Amino acid sequence: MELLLLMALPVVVLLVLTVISYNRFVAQRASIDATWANIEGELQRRHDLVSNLVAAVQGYATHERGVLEQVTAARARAISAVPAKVPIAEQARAEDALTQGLTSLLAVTESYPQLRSDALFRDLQRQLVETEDRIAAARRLYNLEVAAYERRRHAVPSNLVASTAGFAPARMFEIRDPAAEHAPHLAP
Amino acid sequence: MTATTSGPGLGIVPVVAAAVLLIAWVVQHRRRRAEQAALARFITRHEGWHLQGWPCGVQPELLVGRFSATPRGDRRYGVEQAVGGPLELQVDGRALSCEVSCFRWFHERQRRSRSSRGVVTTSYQRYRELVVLCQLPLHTHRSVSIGPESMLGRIGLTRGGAQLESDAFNRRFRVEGRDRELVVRLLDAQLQELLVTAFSGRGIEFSDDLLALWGTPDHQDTSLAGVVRTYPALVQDLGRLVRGIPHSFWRAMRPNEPDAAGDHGPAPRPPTPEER
Repeated sequence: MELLLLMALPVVVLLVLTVISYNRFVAQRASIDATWANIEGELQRRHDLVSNLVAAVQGYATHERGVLEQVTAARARAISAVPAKVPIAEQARAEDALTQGLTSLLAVTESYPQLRSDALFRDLQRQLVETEDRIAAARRLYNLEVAAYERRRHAVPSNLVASTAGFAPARMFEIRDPAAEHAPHLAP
Repeated sequence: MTATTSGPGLGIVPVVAAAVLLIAWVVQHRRRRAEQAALARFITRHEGWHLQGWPCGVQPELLVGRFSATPRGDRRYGVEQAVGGPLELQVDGRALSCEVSCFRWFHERQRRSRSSRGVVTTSYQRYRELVVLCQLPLHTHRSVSIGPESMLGRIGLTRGGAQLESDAFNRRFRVEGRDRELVVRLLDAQLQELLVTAFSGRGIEFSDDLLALWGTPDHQDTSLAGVVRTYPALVQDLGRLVRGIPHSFWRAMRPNEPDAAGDHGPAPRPPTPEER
């Protein structure tokens, strides 16, 4: 009887460690999903702000149709890339294109002093930079969660749990830092 | 027949003890005077700076336990050699003025020793920590603490607190903060690198509008005396640290804007050193 208990003890310890490791993976996946939801919320907010910003610029810079159309198209592509089925890399490319468009748009507005002094435009621009700051922070949090998860997925012995339970790899969300590009255009 | 010679020898002991005490008192007195003179010289170098009873106008009772460099201890605690005033910095392209104070925090810890006869003796040992405190024109509402990592953490055996992108940073510093977004906003890649290269072994703590930097700096001003030798480096390091705070953090905290939630009423007037 004692021998049986002695033999069962390592099995029980192993089982407990496996359950702990599995639950940690589950918690990490939930954390990754939560931080991703945070990014999506902020991206959605940026998309809304972009349409308002384009509308505000249209009123003053009527000759800048090309830039405005470019931003509008980039926004449409970014919105269509948000659903979960779209790969993260594709979403990142769409957001980068929107950032590039916005950078051009904000550069163009430098030639319109009346627009730059418009209270609504200034407020929208400030909100845009604040949203982009939040996107940058949310993206870093997400990537940190992914890095911790991937570290465990590859490290011994948690990799055995990950491969047995089928924990899929998570992808980093790498985009250009929009806030860093747009903050210099922010009126002091 | 035996004779003892202990009688005349014992008479010398109180004389020697008195001489040692006198020498110790003279040395301490001279050191204190030199430190006071150094403080006066340091103050003349900074316009608007003066001796302070309360660092940045915060009384020691509100500082104790607020930072890891300002513990309560077991008996007495307080502020020594506090000197401070305004500091002008260029942050995010804007001039930023903040109140700064350099001081030494002391606290006493109880020590108990038991003699071979079983008699328990209680004594108190005084510990000191160099701190530079800065009152920032913002309110974080939450605290963030960045302190040296433990020995086990440094060799990678344990990992506590928030982990960031840089492994070199994670091995040297332990970051504690409930608001992870605030931590991430504060510690961008540049600030992580700055801390690794210039602030290893030091502690940095944000608590609402106060920023505390503690630990002994690498360099000293040899033209000054005592603890004041480290004050110029403390101020310099603080300036470097504040300038290293990311722009997005300043934008998020909105410096110089009145804070509706943080109205703590008029601050009590700190006593002057003479009043103390």
